[in-house]
Formats: sequence, C-alpha cells, structure tokens
Amino acid sequence: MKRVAVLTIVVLAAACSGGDSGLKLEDPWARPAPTGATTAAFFLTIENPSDVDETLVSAATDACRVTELHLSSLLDGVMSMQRQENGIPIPASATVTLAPGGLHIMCIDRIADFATGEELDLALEFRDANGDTHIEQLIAVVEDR
Amino acid sequence: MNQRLRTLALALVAGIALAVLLVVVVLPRFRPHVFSGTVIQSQTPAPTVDLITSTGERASLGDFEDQVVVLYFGYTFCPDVCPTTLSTLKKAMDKLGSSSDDVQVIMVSVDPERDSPEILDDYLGFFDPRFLGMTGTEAEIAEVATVYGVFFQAEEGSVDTGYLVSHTANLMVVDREGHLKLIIPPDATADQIADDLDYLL
Repeated sequence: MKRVAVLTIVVLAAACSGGDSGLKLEDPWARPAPTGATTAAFFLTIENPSDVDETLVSAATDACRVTELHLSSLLDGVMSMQRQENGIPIPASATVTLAPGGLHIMCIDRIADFATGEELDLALEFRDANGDTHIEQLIAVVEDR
Repeated sequence: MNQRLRTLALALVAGIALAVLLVVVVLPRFRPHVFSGTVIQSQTPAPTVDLITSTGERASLGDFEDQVVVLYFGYTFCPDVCPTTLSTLKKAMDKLGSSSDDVQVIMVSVDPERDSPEILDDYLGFFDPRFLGMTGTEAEIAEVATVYGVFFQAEEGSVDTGYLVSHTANLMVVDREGHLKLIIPPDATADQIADDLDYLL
C-alpha cells in the first residue's frame, strides 16, 4: 500500500515537472473569454535548466479547434501580432515567459467557455536541439488577472 | 526634574507624531496630480465620432457630453491585447466606484467585417455592460481613425486566422468639455488609469 502511494507521488511529480525533458512548465493560465469572442490566449512560463536548446513547436487543446504560436508587439504605438512559424525558442539555461502583450498561444475557434476557474487541457510539443520531440501535458486555469 | 523630563519626552513624541502625520497624510493631498497618460493641450473640440453603436443606433461624441469618454480602437478577434486592455479598463472602472457612471468607454472596431453591432454588444457586455461598441463601414472607421491619428491595417493571416488587424493600442481620453485630453499607453495599470480618470471627473 505504502509502495503504491510512493509510486503515485513519483508519477505525479514527474507529470508536474514536465516528464524527463527537464523543462519546467509553470503557471499555465488563460484569460476569461468574452461571450462574443471566438479567440482566446494561453500563457505560461517555460524554464529550460538543461544545457540543450529547446523549441516550443506547437500546442493543442480540446478547448479550441486549432492553436497558433504568436507574438504581440508594440511598435510606434501600434500593436500587431506575428505568427511564430518556426516555434518559440527556449534556449538552454533560459526562462521564457508567455504573457499578455507578448508571446502567447492563440486559441482559434474557441470551443470551451473559458469561464473563470475552468481548467483546460494543454499539450505542448517541444523539439530539442538534437531533433527529438516530446509532448508535455498540462492544465491551464482560467483566471481574470 | 523627573517630571519635567517626562513632559519634555512626551512633547517630543507628540511633535514627531504630528510631523509624520503631516508628511504622510496631509501633504500628498496638496501635491498636483501627475498624469500617467500624455496630456494633450488642445483648445479645439475633439473630432467627432459618428458611427453605429453596439446597441444599434447612430451616435456621436456629442451624445456623451458631461461624461469623460475613453476611446479605444480594437477588434473582437484579437486574442491577447484587446481583452487585456478591456479587462484593465473594467478594473479601473471598479476602482472609480460610483463616479465610473460619468465615464463612457467606447471601443471603435477596426474590423467592421467581423464586428457587427450584435457581436460587439456581446463582447463588450462581458467586461462591463456600460462599455459601448462602435462600428461602421470601413471608410467611416478610417475617417474616425485618421482624425485621432490612429493607424489600423489588416494583415494577412494563416488559413485559420484569415487576417489579423494591426492597430494603435492607446486609449484616447476626451474630457467633460469635449477636448481630447489624454493619451494613455496600452501598458498602463488599472490604478494609473483610474487615477487619471478620477482627476478629470
């Protein structure tokens, strides 16, 4: 019985820290979506303590028909969005934060409500410098920040 | 002697307490308001906005006389910056309390193709039922944007997004006298916006 409990904790710990890739995925969240909005955005912090460069290649969730990786940027007072077609680089020993007004995972054709407190699944696909890909599963919480 | 010392110490403590009170509580009230936004010193009335509102009728800026109007140019397909700004504006309204009734937030759509009055009403009502949307033909919106020095341009998107719209993200504040008074940058906090609006009210 004790062994089962310990095993459960080990499995859970592995799931939370993002598998064996060494990436630390923290604080995944999304803003509540207005009723009339077909889009939304996910944010999180990705820490890469390893000495291997990683790239966030794509994201998938049941909450949206499709997602894209984007960067909002302000230039001369004008806000525009650029799709990150080559993914978002997470260099070795670096931390990259996806946050409002910057990098984000854009949700297109929203399916879930994105109501405050809702928990949404999010699968992130990473590719490391060796060309190996791995998928990290997490839960994003909908919060009005 | 002992008695006199005690009196002296007491007077000293009372004096320090009074000085602290003066510096911390009283003096800040006499400090002039420092705006977070950029102040515009214009004596000419703010250019009018004559568009269709999210409630279906035509309206112009003159209809909001005696109110402080916060103009924002955005669109509902915008996933990140527009909902962030509107959510910050809602928090600023909450901080203003009952005086927020004298503030009219208007989002002018820079995406008339997607944003019908009904969609705008649905979208803005989520943040605050008092927020008003405005839309019109592309030409009408372009005219309003031009007089406010607002840039917007549809950019080619992917198969899934179709197109995205780049747009000036500042908030334009028109005071109660109908003058364009402030330009607030998109990264202003709810506290900063509320303080600036509170001063204009």
